[in-house]
Amino acid sequence: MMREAFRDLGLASLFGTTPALSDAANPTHEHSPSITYKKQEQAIVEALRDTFAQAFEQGWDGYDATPVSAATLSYAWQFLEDLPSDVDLPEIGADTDGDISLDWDYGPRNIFSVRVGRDGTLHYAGLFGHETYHGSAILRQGIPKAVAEGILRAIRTSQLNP
Amino acid sequence: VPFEHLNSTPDPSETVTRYIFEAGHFSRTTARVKAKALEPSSIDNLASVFRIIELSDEQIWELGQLFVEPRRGRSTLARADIPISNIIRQGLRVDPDEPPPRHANIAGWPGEKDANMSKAQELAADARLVVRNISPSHAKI
Repeated sequence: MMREAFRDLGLASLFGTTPALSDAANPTHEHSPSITYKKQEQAIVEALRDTFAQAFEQGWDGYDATPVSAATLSYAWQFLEDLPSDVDLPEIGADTDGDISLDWDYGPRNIFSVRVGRDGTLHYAGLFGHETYHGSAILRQGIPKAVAEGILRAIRTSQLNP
Repeated sequence: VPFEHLNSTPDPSETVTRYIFEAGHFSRTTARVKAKALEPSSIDNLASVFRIIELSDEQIWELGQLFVEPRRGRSTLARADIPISNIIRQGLRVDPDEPPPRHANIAGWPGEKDANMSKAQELAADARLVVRNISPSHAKI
């Protein structure tokens, strides 16, 4: 049924761009930047596919959860593709309102979360120590500055306090 | 009888629990509740909880088994215990909402999604994760 839903949503092209795992596993190019990028791309595709598999039906949480739509997947893909290859990938999941969740979670008080909506709206919130940081932005060309700052702050804080 | 209706206003010294059904809503390795587990419903802007005053650990799981699992159609994986004083500190409140017995809602959420996420992050930072030990014969998933 999930395969049919993928086909119905026209997601074949999105998932058809996946690089072959054998490319990423080639030991002669293990440290090549392009291979690192491919590994990251593969991880994104797999995470989005798992998220869709979990949340493609109405009520997927056992209650009234809204399914993740093709448009939401597409915006999430665009967002993740715009991340620099040296930035940690977030934990990827679904929200009960159909948004896709992206969480850079480095501890209870070092976390930055983004929710990608079906119209490209990004809701974001961060907790850094006792300081909170939140807002909304629209995904157009590239990752909005406020969102990028939140991601980098979480990563830098984790590097300072591993 | 532990599961009688409480018929009282929640006291700040009480603790409430939020049952968790999604593996991605907590971390076993870091023993942490994820903020997503505590965000309110997008339908009514409330987060469903149960008051656990004077209940044993076993009774708390039984409460979820009796009144939450049948509605969700799946087994509880864990729970987040949250002191009501922490909820009040975030400008939120606990409204009793029985039946079922001991049920309540975390209410007063700002409403905007980003602001709700921020409040949930604060609550999760100080919540206590309790993971359930489920025997294979009991698990419904």
